[in-house]
Amino acid sequence: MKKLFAERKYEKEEEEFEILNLVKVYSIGVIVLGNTYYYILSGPLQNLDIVYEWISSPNFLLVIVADLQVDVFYWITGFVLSFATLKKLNANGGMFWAHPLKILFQRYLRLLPLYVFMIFFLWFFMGLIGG
Amino acid sequence: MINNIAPWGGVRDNCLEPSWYLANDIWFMFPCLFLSAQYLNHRKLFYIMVGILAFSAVTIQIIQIATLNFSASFLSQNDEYWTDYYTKPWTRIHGYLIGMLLGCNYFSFKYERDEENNEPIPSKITTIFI
Repeated sequence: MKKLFAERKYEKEEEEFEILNLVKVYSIGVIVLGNTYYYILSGPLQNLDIVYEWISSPNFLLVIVADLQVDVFYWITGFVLSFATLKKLNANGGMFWAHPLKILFQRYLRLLPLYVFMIFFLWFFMGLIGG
Repeated sequence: MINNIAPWGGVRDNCLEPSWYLANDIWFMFPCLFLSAQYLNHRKLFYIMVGILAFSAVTIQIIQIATLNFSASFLSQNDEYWTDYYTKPWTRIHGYLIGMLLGCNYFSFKYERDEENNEPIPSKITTIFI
């Protein structure tokens, strides 16, 4: 929980990893943009001509490939997690510092609060703020 | 954790539709932990296993594309692209594997030193790019 609200997500020795926050923010922007258009296109549309106008625009390429932007998050997770795991393994003489299932459970606990918050937000607050 | 691979329901029936991302994230942690340990102890085995994992995922993808008859653009497809293909772990694992390869190699660059001249050991990936 402490790490979840920490100002710095990475340890002092890995200050260079802070640049990944920039990549994350950019990716969030592209994903939100892509999802916005995706939900417009999959919903009922009156002005179909605008869709052809969008698709023929070269800038729309950013929206079309937005579905692959999520891979950047997996890339970052794979990068940081393998690095952190190796660092801890190395410090522990090549052995796991805890049972692998316990490490998995810790990861699960780290993701759970935000997941529960989002379910609660969508269930209760989303309707109150107008969707 | 199994909401994106369970044969019943579907990603659209979840409490939170984008939760397929978290399910994959948890799934990918299994190979990440196991393979990171291999990187430290049996490096050759690590590269072989990453290759096998990536190849298996591509094979499943090709079979799925052929079976569901997908085209190059998701705009021309029915909803199966999003429900049966896009959210599955075998479709999304490659980005994770590339990140893992680079993370492991960055660890070598930062912490492993050549015993003779105390220089960082050039990784296989760095050598390929050079």
